[in-house]
Amino acid sequence: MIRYDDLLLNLFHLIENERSMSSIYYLLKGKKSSQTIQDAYLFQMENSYGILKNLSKQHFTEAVQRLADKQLITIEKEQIYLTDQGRRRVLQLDQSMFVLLKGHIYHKSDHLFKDTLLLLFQTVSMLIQKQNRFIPIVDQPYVQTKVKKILLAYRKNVKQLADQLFEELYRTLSVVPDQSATLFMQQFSGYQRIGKSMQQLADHTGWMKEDIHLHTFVVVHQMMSIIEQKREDFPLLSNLIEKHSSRLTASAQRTQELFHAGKTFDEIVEIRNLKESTIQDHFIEMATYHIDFPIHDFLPDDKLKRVLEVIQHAETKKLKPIKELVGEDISYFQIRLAIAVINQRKKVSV
Amino acid sequence: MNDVHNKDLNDALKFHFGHDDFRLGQKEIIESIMNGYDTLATLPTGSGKSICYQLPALLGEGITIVVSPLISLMVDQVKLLKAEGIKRVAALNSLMDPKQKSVVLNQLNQYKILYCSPEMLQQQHVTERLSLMKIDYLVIDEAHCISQWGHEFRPDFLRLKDVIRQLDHPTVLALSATATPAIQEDIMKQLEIDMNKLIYPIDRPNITFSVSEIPSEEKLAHLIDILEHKKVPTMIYFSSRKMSEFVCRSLQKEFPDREVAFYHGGMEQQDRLLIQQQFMHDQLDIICCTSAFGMGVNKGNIRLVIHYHMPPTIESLIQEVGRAGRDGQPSVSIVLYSPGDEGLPFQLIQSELPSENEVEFYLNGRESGQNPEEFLDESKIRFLRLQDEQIKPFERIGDKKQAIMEYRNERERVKSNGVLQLLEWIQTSSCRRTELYSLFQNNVMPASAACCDRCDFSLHEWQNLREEERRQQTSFQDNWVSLLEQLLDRKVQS
Repeated sequence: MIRYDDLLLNLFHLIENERSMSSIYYLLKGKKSSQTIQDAYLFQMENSYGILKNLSKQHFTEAVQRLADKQLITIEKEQIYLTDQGRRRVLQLDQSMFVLLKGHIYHKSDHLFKDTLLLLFQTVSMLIQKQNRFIPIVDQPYVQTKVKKILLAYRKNVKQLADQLFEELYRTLSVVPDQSATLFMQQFSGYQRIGKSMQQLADHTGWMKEDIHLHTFVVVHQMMSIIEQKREDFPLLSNLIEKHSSRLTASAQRTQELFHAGKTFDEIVEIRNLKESTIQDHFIEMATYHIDFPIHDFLPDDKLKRVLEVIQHAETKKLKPIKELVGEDISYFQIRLAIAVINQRKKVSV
Repeated sequence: MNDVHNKDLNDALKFHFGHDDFRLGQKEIIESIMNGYDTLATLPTGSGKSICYQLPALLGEGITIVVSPLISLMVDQVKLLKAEGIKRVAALNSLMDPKQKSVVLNQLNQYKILYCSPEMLQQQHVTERLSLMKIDYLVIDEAHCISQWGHEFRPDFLRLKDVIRQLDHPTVLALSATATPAIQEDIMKQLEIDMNKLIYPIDRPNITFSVSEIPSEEKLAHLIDILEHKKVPTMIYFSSRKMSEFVCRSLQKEFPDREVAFYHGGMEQQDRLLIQQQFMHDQLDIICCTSAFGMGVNKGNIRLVIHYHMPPTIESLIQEVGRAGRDGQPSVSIVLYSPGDEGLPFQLIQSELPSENEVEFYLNGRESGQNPEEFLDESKIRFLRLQDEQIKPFERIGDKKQAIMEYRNERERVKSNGVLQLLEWIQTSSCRRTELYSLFQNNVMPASAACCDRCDFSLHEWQNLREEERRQQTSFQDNWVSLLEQLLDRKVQS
């Protein structure tokens, strides 16, 4: 079971000596700075990016102090050092539980997903009992609009909507551990039952509120990835997640399919009978929107590094001056891919 | 509009709000404004003040503007109306971003009721838009805010008389639950209109009053004693967030079989909504809260309201106690007082008003083109800004300062008097009911249950009587499958 203090300790372990403790605070808050984002990937802690957006500095400082009181860490001038005891604790941690968090992918959409689900659930639960007057448990107008749209799409066929919601929730929640699913469901409101707040669940379990929060978002992220893996299997819940891949143009999608099927760039140009520059554009699109784009297939590490360095130091984002600086052996296409990769990280992570 | 018939109004009430009958005063107020009279009305909290303008608004041809001092109150009202199925309502306040505001302003003809904060009505583009509309009624909620004699004076409200003129004087309804006769007069004077006065008594015969004077270190134990045999819906008011949480935890430990929660303005919106709704749905026994709780709380069966700290004014006491026994059943108010408790409300007054140094600092800073506002609290800035604006005629800083200080000291005096008044009430040896309500009305109704600890009520005897009201059970033990099945009314196919 994931716990806040363990997560913190693990993160401090990852950055030890190299970054200040505030960098972890910014990571958890999901600060939109390139430093925070680059660090997230550099230290391989991107899955924790933005998972505690409402964390206050005070709560964070208290948590750090708690770790120090337990003699797991020492604090020296904003730097965190793990004690031997802390190190042993990290070794005992089950790393697989952290992997279930997917902050780098979902930090932008997870709250919206959860809020929309809470309101949709309450609405359906009330409507099947013929209660159409109730106080919506989520205030935000855009969430309410979204739920209204879904209701309209089902042409107010509440029974069918309830069947579908029940079935899809059952399928997704069956995959997560029972205890987490229960903590999650207890936050839901509906007919004759108002959900528990995270504070109440924390008081009841004797955990901290942050623990409940992490649990909740482990469940949310798991649900979201299950749904995204096969959207067509979740005709209702997939409406609650904005499509990322749909940002690719149809033609680029076709190119991507061929690429995933193992075709090379030149083969794709030939198969699709399109201009080389068009296929290049498709690859730029893919690199911009997909985190797992294999940039190294197109740009060896040393060259990528050179481009990134130049871009970082150059005052301009224009291609020509950058091309002049990086030298003859790197093509425009390669520079554009490098920029796309930078943007892609910013986009997915900000 | 003399053709307003009884039956039509009753039908409309049933149709829009589902009530069969009007409560005391509602119909008279509605008829008064529907007949075009500017009206000043007082009604007790929780007696359905808002229906007095909501119903006429829905029956009118144009739009009704409701000026409300508290944004949270406004938002709650809109929410409640929407839950009633009345969708043609909107709010306009400073918390909204420019886009949200312009959406509202661009479709004014869609609305029957527009809740508006007073500062929004100061903006010319807003009043210009509104003046193009047919305005049926202009309602001033919490109208005592207009009076400097009032505990909650809001300078913004003073400008409402200009707004009324700009909007071509629609029928005005000024509403309050806590306006003394002097304040009633002042409201009319400030608005510069003669009004039809409909004053209804605000006393609540079914509430019993009691004060426990005890040393502060014994408060918690005393509270636990009181709650021991009283398993009834209870609100406990605190003047600090920290204390509300601390006492909540102690009560959770003391009474593991009861649901106790805390509520204050420092919580996230989502959590606030959940706790509020749990309380409304009888899922909580005890709520430990600050004055932030209560807006739009419409729960009939609150049996016990305890003030762990002395409230800041007599008006807030009346308002908060007024949440008890809205179903008419006997209910009890208990104030826990320790000598020295009054220190906090006095401190609060000082922290809200600028000191002489701060006034000087502000004026000098403005003069030399600096921005002194960075260094002052929000409430002080608001105070100083308005004063600075209002006493323009003074050229010399010294004169300006003197004028502001005179005014400041007057506010301090009014507010301190409020605290002293409450302190007197706590220490009175005569009937608490009479003392409390005779500030606001001439006749006080006799109690329908026990009156107060100065008359016929013994806290000690009462607290040993076991009382229990069923709460809805919502277990933490349910697992996710049964929750899913229960809430969506479906069964997993095995």
